[in-house]
Amino acid sequence: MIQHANFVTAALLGVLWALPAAAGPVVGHERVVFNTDAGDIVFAFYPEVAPQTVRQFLRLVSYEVYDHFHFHRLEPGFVLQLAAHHNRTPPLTPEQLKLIHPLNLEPSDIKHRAGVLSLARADANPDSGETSFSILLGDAPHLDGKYTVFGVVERGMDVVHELARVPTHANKEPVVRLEVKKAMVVGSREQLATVSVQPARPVPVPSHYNSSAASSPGVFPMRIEVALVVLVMIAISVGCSLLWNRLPPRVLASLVLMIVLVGGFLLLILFMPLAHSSSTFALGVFLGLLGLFRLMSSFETPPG
Amino acid sequence: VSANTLQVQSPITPSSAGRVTTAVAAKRPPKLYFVNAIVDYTVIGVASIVTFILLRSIHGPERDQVIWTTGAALLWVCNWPHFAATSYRLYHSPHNIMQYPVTALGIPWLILAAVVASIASPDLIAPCFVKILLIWSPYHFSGQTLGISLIYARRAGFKITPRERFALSAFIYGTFISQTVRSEVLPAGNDYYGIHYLGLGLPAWSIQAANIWMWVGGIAFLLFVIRWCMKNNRMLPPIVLLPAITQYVWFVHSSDQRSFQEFVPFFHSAQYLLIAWSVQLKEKMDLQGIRPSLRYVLTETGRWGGLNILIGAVIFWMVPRLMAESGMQLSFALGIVTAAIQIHHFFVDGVIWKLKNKNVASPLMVNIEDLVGSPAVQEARA
Repeated sequence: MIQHANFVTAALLGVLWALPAAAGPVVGHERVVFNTDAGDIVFAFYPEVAPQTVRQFLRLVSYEVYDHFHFHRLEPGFVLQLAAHHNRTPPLTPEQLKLIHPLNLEPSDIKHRAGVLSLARADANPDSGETSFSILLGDAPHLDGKYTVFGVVERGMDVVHELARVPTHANKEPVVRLEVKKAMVVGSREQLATVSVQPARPVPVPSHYNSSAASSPGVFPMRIEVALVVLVMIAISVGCSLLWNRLPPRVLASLVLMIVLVGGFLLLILFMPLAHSSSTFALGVFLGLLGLFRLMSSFETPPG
Repeated sequence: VSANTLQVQSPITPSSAGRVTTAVAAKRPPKLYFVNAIVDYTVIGVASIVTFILLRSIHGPERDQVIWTTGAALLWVCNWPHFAATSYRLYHSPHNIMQYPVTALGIPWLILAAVVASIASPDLIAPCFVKILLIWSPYHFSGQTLGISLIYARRAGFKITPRERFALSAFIYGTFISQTVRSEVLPAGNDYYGIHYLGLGLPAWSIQAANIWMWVGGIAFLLFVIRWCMKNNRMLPPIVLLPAITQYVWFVHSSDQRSFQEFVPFFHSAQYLLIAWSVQLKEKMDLQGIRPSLRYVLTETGRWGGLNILIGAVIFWMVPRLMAESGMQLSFALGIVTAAIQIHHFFVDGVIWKLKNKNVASPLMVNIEDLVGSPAVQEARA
């Protein structure tokens, strides 16, 4: 009986010991607060999972590197991404720039889920993360293990959602600048209690951006643009046909090349959004552009 | 004025740079340099390579305020005038305009249409317009590099066969493709004067493929050069290879050196201006029957240079600000105008070096002595 009780006690202790590990990675003491137009976001970090990235992030925040960064990419349900330091306005000081260096990938088992902070990097180089990172807005299992997860939104996910409600251009860029006005390190969760954290509020957006056209990059918003380009092609073609007998062949050939150029531009407009769905397709677009430029180098070539 | 009838088809763009045929060249072999070894080597590549080494060893890779300010100052005296010089060469004479009417009179309207469309559609057409510029620009750099290499090869008496030209082109354009592919692998894109454009999202393996293409071309051309040296029992002047090596430094070796990258357009413009300046002085001298003299070189250099600085300032500085006065965002206006002028430049540059004038003797083979008037030149002219 006693033996049985000991076994149960040991099993319970074992479960209790294992619980923190099952609950998630250990969160460090430090917090960082991002002050934005939509309110304040509080980040907590995983120093045991990504020690190098966390240390560097805290260091950069303490040197005010992240002040005036902005979110340049917004894909609802996927990510809200902070632009890299090259795009900071005003530019970083030389002293601040010296602090920045590429970070090695710190892979982990932590899943890319809503609220997770994931360090951005070049696709071709896993060890190229520097300053840009994403706040996940939804599950993204295809990123798991490939990007350094270094923290999580502890408070202010409602602020993140307010930011994510801002309409975007077709290129996923928010229509208004979503700036980090101030970023600061708070030593611990207890100290955070002394800081006034701003609640969520809507981001002011000009009324003309609130139409659905601004946020839907589908084919229909392109209609006017495509029509404009086709109009130019038709105008050149009509000009060619009207002047067919009066112009020398070299000039006519150049006018035809102009139509090809405009047509190539039209294809770029149409295919650019699709290129992201397939890298092979993207390669086709790139080679097509090279072919177009090669063709243009024989534009109005003199006879002989 | 030389009475020789000439066929000048030596462009800075490469389409026919290998086919210079001049009666003068047959009489008096062209000198190797436009000015002299020091000036030509400096402008064509040594200055940019030394700058790269200095910035890497002393300054570091980042583009800080000092670099940015210096780069901005150089825009006024070199980058912008180089665009102005292209337009000046085509448009200053009705004779030139009528040789290439579609380029001179049709292309500006097409580009204007693209500007209007970009303003009307800042989210869709403007990023594509910028994208065209950003990929076409290094392609154009490569064309100039190849053209300059071919000019110096011609001057050095190195007759380039189609196979050799293919190998050289593969290397030079390979540096451009390698650089462009590296940036286009990233789908996130970047900003150009606040106009956000997306990357293409090319496959990662395309970087390796581009590098292999570049190196195979480079090694093949080097083997051709070695064969030429052995066959002719003399060394090929290094300046023939310098443009290609310089472009390799610009596009491949310094790709992570943002401080140096700020100056690459300046060095490209300086190369361009050296040759455009030589051609301008030679053409005017021949057309107007001006005697070679140092005084002529100085006065014409001042006039032509001053005019190009002025035109450059008007088109790049004033026009965007006038557009901004009408309520457009200044950075957007700067981006669109800069893109438009550069794309126009790519077209115009493709034809101006093929301009023909029966009264002008081989301007791309000119040397400073032809302009200043050394005793040997005076004797030849007599």
